[in-house]
Amino acid sequence: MSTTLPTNTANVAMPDWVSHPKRPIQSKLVRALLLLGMIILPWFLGGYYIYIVSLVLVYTLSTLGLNVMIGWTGQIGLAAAGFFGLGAYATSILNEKGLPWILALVLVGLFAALVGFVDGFPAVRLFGFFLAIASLAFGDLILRFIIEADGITGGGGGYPVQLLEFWGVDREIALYYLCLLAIVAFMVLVGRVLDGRLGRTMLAVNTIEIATPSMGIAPPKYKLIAFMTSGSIAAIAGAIFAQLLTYLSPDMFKTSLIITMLVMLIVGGVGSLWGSFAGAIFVVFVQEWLQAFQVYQRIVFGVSLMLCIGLLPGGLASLVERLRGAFAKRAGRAEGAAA
Amino acid sequence: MSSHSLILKDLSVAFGGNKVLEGVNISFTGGLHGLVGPNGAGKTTCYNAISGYVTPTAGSIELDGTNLVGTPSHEIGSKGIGRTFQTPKLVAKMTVLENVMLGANRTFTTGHVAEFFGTKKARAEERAVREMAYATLAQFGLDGTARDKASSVPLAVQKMVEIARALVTNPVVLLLDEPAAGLGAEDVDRMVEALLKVIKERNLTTVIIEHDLHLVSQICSKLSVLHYGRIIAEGDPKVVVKDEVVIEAYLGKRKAVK
Repeated sequence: MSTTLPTNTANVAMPDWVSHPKRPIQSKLVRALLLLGMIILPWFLGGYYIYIVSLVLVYTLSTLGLNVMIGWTGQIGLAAAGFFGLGAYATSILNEKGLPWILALVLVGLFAALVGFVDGFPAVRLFGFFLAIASLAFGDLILRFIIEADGITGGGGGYPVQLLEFWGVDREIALYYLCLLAIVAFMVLVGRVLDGRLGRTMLAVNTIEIATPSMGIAPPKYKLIAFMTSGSIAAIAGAIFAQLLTYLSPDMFKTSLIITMLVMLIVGGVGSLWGSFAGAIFVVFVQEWLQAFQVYQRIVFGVSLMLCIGLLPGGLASLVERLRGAFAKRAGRAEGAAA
Repeated sequence: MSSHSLILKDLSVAFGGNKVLEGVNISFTGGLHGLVGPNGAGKTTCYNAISGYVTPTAGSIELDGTNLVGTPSHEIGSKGIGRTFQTPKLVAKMTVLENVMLGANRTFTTGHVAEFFGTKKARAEERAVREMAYATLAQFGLDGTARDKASSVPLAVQKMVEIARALVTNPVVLLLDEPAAGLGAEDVDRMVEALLKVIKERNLTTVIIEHDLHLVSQICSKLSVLHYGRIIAEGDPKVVVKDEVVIEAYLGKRKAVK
């Protein structure tokens, strides 16, 4: 510590939960069971379903970045579809040019953070709808670049992705584990940071921005970090998405993709990492279920958005809290009646 | 430890043609200094100018001899000017403890990358700050609420949590904006007792905006009265509150009843 701490802690009886905060055992158990379930899933599911679950994981990852931006710093930045496309194309092209895929992924992740900085630098001075429009345009600019640079991206004609080899392991299963590894790694790392100082500061910038400078916090810095993190995560998700889809076309990253991402975010629960997962399950389920009826998909998405905003602002993730509250209330009433 | 000085020299603030502060001269040096005046006198604008939230049209604000005018507000916060707000600004979905920890931002030496990778030093700092925030809450008798969500605690607790957060920033000058407004007598006593103890321990220069003249005259060593953006009286609180000009500013002119 550079400065001495202002309050002496020696005379205070320090509870263990303050010095060593721990997750409740139930929460750890649920996480461990879920992870175990996900690890053994390929033993029970066929190829197509494995692909569907992989898609859920990639979408979860893409929404994770958007969640940091909207859920934590409260900025309606809508360039994620562009970054998703950037990651998909750039990693695949670099890989085709001879760079190992994993190295290309890391480089593209860093490059996307840089592009996120460029996007964020003017955008952090904007608020609300103005920010939404500016960032939407930036995302579209990336897409426009992909279409125009047809010499390397294939333009409107599309781009066949060079497929990864997995040392003889079934490709679908290997890709599934790659998605699982990525989502677990990001959930743990992003979750840790958001539970800590950075997450606290971002939430403060989101809800009490006016008060933050008096604590020595510069809000633009944290908004920029959100732009960079969000761009980087979306690009990494895009890179894995390209391997799943095997063929890229600019149509996949149109503005409608950001709507799908917003549905995942809002239906799942803004500001909840687990909500991103629930939202992705919902979207992929609806997309697959109504595959033949594009127009009905949009109706379902639209209605679910309205229902969530109106009746369940915390999204599916808040249902758990609500149920817990309802059970606690019922238990309390039962206790009262018994007494 | 000597106390720090904050001196306002000929400070003026105007919003368009509306002059909110006009040539204000105040010297805050050690102890508890009261800043009072009727609604709209310019007290909070004075705080906003000191914190860099509004730019003065003229004059200077000197912290230990360094002019703060033109310095970005977060840098002023980093220099140790801590403050609270009329309505508490807490993050509703965070716990009381986490809200207090927010104040310790400038205490950390490890960056966010170290936090991302969970280095030993980053974890040690996080723990030290958690314990320090808890100990600060305990000074106000609020350790029992540390785990509660900020949105679920009463206004009195929220106000004290905000003071605790400002103290955790390790301020050299603390600006309190109506900390006792809306609080019951018991809560005011508890807050004042804890506050006076900390001010004495740290020899902290503290300014308090408060409408309760009885309270400020009891706890402050000096009082400045603002009215329509100008200082109309200053000095020993017990003398100032009996000043005719001050009484007139608060209650209006005495009229003979026919």
